[in-house]
Amino acid sequence: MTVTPPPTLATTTHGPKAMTSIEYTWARATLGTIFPAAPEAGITLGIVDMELAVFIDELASALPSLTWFGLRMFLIIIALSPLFIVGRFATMAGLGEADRDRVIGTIGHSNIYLVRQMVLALKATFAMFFAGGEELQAVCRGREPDRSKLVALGRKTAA
Amino acid sequence: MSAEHSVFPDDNLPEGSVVDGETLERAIDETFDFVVVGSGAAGGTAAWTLVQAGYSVAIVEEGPWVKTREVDRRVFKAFQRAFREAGTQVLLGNSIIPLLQGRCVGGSTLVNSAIVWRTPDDVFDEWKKDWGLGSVITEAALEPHFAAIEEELKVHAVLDEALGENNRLFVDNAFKGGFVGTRMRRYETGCKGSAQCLTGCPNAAKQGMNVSYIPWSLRKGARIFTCARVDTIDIRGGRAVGVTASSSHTNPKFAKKVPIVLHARRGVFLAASTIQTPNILRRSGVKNAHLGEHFMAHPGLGMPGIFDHKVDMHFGATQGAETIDFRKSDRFKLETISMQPELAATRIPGVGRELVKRLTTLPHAAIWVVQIRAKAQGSIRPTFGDRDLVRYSMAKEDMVAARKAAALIARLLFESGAKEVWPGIHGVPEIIRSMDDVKLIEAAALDSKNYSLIASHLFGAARMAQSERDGVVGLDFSTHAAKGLYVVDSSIFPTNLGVNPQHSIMGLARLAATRVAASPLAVAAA
Ligand SMILES: Cc1cc2nc3c(=O)[nH]c(=O)nc-3n(C[C@H](O)[C@H](O)[C@H](O)COP(=O)(O)OP(=O)(O)OC[C@H]3O[C@@H](n4cnc5c(N)ncnc54)[C@H](O)[C@@H]3O)c2cc1C
Ligand code: SF4
Repeated sequence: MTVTPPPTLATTTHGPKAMTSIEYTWARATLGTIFPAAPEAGITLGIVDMELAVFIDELASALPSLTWFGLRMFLIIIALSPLFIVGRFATMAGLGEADRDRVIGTIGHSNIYLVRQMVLALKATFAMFFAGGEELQAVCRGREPDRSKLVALGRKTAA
Repeated sequence: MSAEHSVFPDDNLPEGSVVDGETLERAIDETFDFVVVGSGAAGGTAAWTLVQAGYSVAIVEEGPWVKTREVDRRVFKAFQRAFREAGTQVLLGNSIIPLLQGRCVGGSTLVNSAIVWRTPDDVFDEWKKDWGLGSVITEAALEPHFAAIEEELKVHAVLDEALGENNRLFVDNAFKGGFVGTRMRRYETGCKGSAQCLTGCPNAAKQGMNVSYIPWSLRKGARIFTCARVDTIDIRGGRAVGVTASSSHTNPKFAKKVPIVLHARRGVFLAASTIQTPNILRRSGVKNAHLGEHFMAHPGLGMPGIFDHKVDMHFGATQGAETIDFRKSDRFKLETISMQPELAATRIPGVGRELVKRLTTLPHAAIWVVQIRAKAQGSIRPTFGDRDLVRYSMAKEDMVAARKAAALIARLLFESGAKEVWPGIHGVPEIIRSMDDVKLIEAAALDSKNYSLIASHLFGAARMAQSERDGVVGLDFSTHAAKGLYVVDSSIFPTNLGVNPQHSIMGLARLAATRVAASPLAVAAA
């Protein structure tokens, strides 16, 4: 099993941080599992290749405090859930891709409403960022992606 | 012509006609004949009617003015600027149902699909028979108002050039489901079929209040206070004499709360929507056993079908086809909707690579939805941070309607040529591939937690009734508690409609404002 190295924080400097650095790492692990790259379908950038931390901070500022608190809790709970789902004493960031998929799949399909709502809420909220990305927009509008916009989104290797 | 070179109706407004609370530094204290709270369907219509009758009018709107040339196709940007709580409000009950409302000049008309329906006959009958409204709200009384609005806001059926494949598929195939599919009638002129109504029209084609009655009113002398939140209606001696507001912000967390006091010589029109109006009345000291009760909705549910050929939802009127054949028999209405990928993602099954791959198949997707004329009733109360708490749980018969409609949509998608349907119902396979599989939807549990519902048509919570014992607002549109405090949004509706509500709201607001303008209260003492 391959273990992905712990992801780094977003590269861009910006305004006040919405979460602690460990939470950004967890967020990248969880959201990266929900919205990965799928090069075989022409989507070369996963959500972690985009300016995710910038979006998170913007989101935290835009949402009512209680709503943001709820989303933040969902990210924390999911990050700490692997022990109960895959029986590993690790956070989402410490798991390999297959285990991460299993954790998110299990939570997202749970028969317990509030449990599966956690994944649904993250999916709905972060789709506004991920699906707004240039590659998907281009696919959906039947045009070529504008490469300059991909670079602007901050893919580290694209420059 | 490109947007850069066009002149839109919300450009070049008269100097001083817009006071923006976001940049306001000094307190305001001014007097008008009427103050209108809210600039959406109800407020915009009331303001325009009063201005035309020659009165001085102030419009107070909590949200910012998102000008046509600032409309941003990115969903998050639109939600941040134009939707209340950035689009994250919910109805809380047995399940959590997202609730969408505009919070901007134009209110929900900036972000809606502009679908027009006159109030159905049976609703008039019900309001007369069960609610005693027959002396005021009749088809005959509303007819001239509907007609005038339809003419002013260029109502017509979707034209060929803006139809798009999502809508065409529905209209052309409805007969296979045994019903009639028709093109919607909408408030628009020159729709380019950009399928972007839900984030604001970039062409000012959609005739939302932000590009019609509000700028028209300003050009005739009205003024609007944007980013200005009404805290209370001032009631003195049993009569509304103005409003106390404070400056707000696109993001309410940054509101500076500079005081804004507007005196109303002749009355206040409250048009802050079904959700906000009850709590404004409460904060203003209005007491009534029905205030905040009997909240109703048309919860909706959408379902994508995947076709071999391209549907290209990014082209065509956002919502352009419908049927009301099931409105009376089953209490639902079917519609099409085109969703941008950011919104469609919630309707796509799965997570991870599967999800992303399915997102790339969206060009082949058609999405059809149901609006349920739900029987359930909920309540509205204030909660932390000046927000509104809406409690609401679907009734069992509403879920029967939802399930039946979901099966019908799936069936029609297959009849129309879809090779896959994504039901989005927990307990039913994420993807079904044949007409035979529709049985699985028909057998789905009736638990609202299993369905992805959403609400945007809202009613009740300050209902109209002849006596104070039965309702909050009297037949003269004035609250029973205070004279000259007219409530003209759909909070006064004693029932929901089963059709899209904007036209009924506007018709009633125009009727109310016309009557008040013809015989206004005497000028209030200073
Ligand atoms: C996404 C969406 C799509 C829809 N599509 C359709 C459609 O196609 N056809 C249709 O008939 N209906 C549609 N509707 C419903 C329709 O838009 C609403 O029923 C209608 O706009 C309600 O009118 P209103 O004036 O009561 O409220 P709104 O139009 O919501 O306006 C109320 C305004 O009051 C302001 N306000 C609230 N509180 C305060 C305060 N304290 N101080 C100052 N201002 C305040 C709000 O910010 C808001 O701008 C849709 C709604 C949504 C959200
Ligand atoms: S579909 Fe038509 S009315 Fe809607 S945003 Fe596009 S051009 Fe405007």
